[in-house]
Amino acid sequence: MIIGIDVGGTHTDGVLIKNGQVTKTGKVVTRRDDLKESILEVLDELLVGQDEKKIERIVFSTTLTTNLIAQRKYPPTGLVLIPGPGMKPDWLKLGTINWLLKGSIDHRGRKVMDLEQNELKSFLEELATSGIVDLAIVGKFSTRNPSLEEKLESFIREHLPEVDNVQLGSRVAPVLNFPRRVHTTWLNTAVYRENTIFLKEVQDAVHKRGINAQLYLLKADGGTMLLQEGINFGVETIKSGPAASIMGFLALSGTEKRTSLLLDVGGTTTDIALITGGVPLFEPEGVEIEGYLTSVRGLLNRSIPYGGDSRIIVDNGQIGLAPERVGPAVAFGGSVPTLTDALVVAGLVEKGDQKQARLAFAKLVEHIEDSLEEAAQKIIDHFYLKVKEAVEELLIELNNRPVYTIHELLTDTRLEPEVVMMIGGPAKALLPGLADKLGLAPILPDYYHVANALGAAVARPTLRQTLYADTAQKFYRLSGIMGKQQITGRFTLKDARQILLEHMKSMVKQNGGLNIDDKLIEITHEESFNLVRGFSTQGQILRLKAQVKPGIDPALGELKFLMKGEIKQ
Amino acid sequence: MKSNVPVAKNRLGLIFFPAYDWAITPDHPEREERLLYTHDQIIEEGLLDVEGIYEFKPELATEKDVARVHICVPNVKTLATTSHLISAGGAITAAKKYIEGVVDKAFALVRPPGHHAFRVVHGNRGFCNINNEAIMVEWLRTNYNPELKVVFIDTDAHHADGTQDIYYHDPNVLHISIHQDGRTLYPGTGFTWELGGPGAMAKTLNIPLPPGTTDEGYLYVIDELILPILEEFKPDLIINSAGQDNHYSDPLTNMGITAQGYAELNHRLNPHLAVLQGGYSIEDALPYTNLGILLAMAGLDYSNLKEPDYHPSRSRQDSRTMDQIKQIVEQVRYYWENRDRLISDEFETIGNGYYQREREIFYDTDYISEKQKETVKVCNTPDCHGHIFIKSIGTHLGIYKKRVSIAAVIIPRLVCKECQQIAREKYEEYCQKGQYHYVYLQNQVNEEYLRWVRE
Repeated sequence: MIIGIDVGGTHTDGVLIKNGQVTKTGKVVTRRDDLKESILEVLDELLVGQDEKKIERIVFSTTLTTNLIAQRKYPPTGLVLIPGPGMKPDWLKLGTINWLLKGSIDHRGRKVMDLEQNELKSFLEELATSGIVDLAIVGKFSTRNPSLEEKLESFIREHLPEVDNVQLGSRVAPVLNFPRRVHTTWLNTAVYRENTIFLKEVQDAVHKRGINAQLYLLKADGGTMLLQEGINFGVETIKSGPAASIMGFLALSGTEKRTSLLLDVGGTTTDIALITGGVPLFEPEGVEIEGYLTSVRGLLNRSIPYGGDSRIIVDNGQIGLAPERVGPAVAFGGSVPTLTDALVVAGLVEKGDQKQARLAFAKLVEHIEDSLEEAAQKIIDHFYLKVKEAVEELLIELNNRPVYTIHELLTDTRLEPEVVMMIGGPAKALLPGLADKLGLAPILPDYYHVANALGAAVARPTLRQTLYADTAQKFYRLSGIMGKQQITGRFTLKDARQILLEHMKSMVKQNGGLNIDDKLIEITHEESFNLVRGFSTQGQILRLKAQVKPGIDPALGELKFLMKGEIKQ
Repeated sequence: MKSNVPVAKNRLGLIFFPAYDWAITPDHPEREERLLYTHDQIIEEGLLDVEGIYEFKPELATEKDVARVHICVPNVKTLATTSHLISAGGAITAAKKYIEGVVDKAFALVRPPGHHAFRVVHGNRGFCNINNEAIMVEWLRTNYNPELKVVFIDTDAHHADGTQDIYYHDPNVLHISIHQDGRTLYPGTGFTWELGGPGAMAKTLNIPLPPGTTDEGYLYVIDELILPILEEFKPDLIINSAGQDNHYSDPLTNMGITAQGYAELNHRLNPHLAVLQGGYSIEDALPYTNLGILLAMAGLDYSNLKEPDYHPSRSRQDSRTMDQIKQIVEQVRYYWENRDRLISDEFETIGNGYYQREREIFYDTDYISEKQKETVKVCNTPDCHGHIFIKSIGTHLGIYKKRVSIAAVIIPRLVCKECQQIAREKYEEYCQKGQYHYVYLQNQVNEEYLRWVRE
């Protein structure tokens, strides 16, 4: 048995999957001040009449880190930058105290300048008097050579062991892009303590219920990581809500391989995402949170500020929607008419109080020419228009993503969705009309009310790894792994490929021993360049990337979500 | 919205196309990895996350875009491979985004480069097949404003002989090339007395600088000569043909410019568009010089930009070299100030307003020798740029000595009815004569680009 739990802002949902079928779902109101409690409530609901010994794994998607960052709930933090030459780093100020240290690494990972002894001394004194024990250290090009970051770290360990939360950019965010690495590392430092407490509590509580399942967390990229790993990489769990919903779509869309537009309509916002060839799209550089650009790999997701609870306004004789949540709808006991009321008046939603909704609408149309039905249709059309605009904008952006080789430029295929899928409360009412406006085939998945929890449950672990080799300097390096590896003798693309794949396989094994087929490990990127000095080849730079793609865990076998029958709410 | 990023003072468009799968030969300096480290540096600096810096995908230039500028022998397809069309297309994309007002400035960081490609192209010379920046300007003039007044400032260490040739007779284009003295470097031209054709005197200016020129000498030229000239010429568009082989670490040249110098130069010139040219110090210079240009164009602080082995003394100019530079500046200034009184000594008058010159042009990469006779009409009708006849024989210096002869008729965009008619008749005449392998008509007025082939 597998359990998926999605801790959302409003509700915490859960699903229990047995033999590839959803056998139980649960929903409770999220307690924002005690997420662990919400998790346990849902868990208990799901476990009624089940043998908890038979649960193999539980996957959580949680908003904890997202909330900590949004509410700025973190301890005093320090940030050390080793920026070297380049853009002025003044704007990169985060947390309580910032230090800029001398020292630099160049683009090939060569140490141009070491840390300076005198500077180190005074830094250490300042750190000691500040009382800060949460520290992020990030150097420019530290992904190519982390020695300066590591040197500083061991220096602190030696002289100030009480500073026990030291995070390095080269470990937390081992990809190029210094400012994003700084944001990501600092955020990871900031959420570290709270996140650790939360995860340990969850672990204990689950064990107390006699469950010995492997515990996983859903990451922003729609993959999972062991809960243990989540302690060191808390920042990877930001934005796991949208990721859960996209993975839910993926599970519910079954064998659909056409490019599909995904819409998740909530009360306040509508989220837009895309799946092409059964694989969701990514944010190319990393996700953004609270204005911080990070290097956390996440699934592509765009939000528009319109949803079921959006307010209806009349302006200059025109009726339309405002990007403002009022809710609930008048038909459901609210006081201000919303998009949902328009759906009620238009006869697309049968639940709720028809009469109240029509009364509220009658007031709205007093000063305009439209009948109630016309006004309702105009509002619904307004919503469709907002979605359409956002989708068009997103497609333009995606189809303009730069490429850097002639081959890619010529073989670049345009993304054109053929299908639109929708989940969320008003999905059933909105989908037919919207699909018509977008000119796409509509699909309304089953279980759309618990798609997120379902997505979390069936997501498989994802892994990413980069190998960078410089055969002239005779080393290769794997991202996030300590130290350089020596190269002896000839080292070709083939050798690099083999090392990377071997390494990925062992990482997969460590990741909870899930049966990930080696076929799922793919090399996504290969580059090799001859290094020319004075017109003769000195060696090569090799860059390879490999990943286990996000997707549905094959260990689950055939998912049978198209089963009929009522699921108890 | 992104809140935690710097904001660029000028909205800057970046067209980045490193062509990671194209090179002339495996060990050629104009090679796949030329922009590799620049790319790494741009990504690591987080430059594309800056508010107001946008990256655009290059489009492919069309054959027509190329034919608008070049007489390609035997044809466009043979000479302009996909990589060249993307590179030229990248420059067009830069111009498009600028002219549409999407950005305030744009930089086409594309390869292969173009500034050694002449109007007539028999093959590759100086690593160039087609002239990206000329194709860009002609695209702008065709699609937006035929009367556009343009200044090119070519800062590549090698004389921009190709772009100079294409605009030699165009009084609306001021082409300024600053380079290492031709007596010491390929292509061996670009002397102060190369001033343009008889109808566009001093609209070509060459500033050959002595080997060892540093930031100080270079910026002296910008401040004392170039900026005052720009003030007078009042261009609609300033283009920097941004070569970066003046850098002190470049393996092919002997100049001493630093990344700070490049940034400062761009800051003072304040170009609308920049198109990458050469630069072969791919590890030690390009990541820093390109970053400098990008920061300067975006209006961001570049004071923290330094090469690993930079020292402020690198920027200083010794007094002897400075004296030479001052002399060159004096000379060019004299030509500019007396531009209305200059008489061409490169072209002989052959009567009836026609002038003529004969040249030999050598294609180092493809090993071709071209003999060319260029006849230009200087027309007295106001705003008429006359017309041009070219006869050219290209000899491929292989074992077989293949020879290709062509004639071409050029009708510029701004031209009187009479000139157009004469030129058209000349084209017909060349075709009827049948003594050339190919005859070309390049009629920019109604976008008519014809090629007649002898059976």
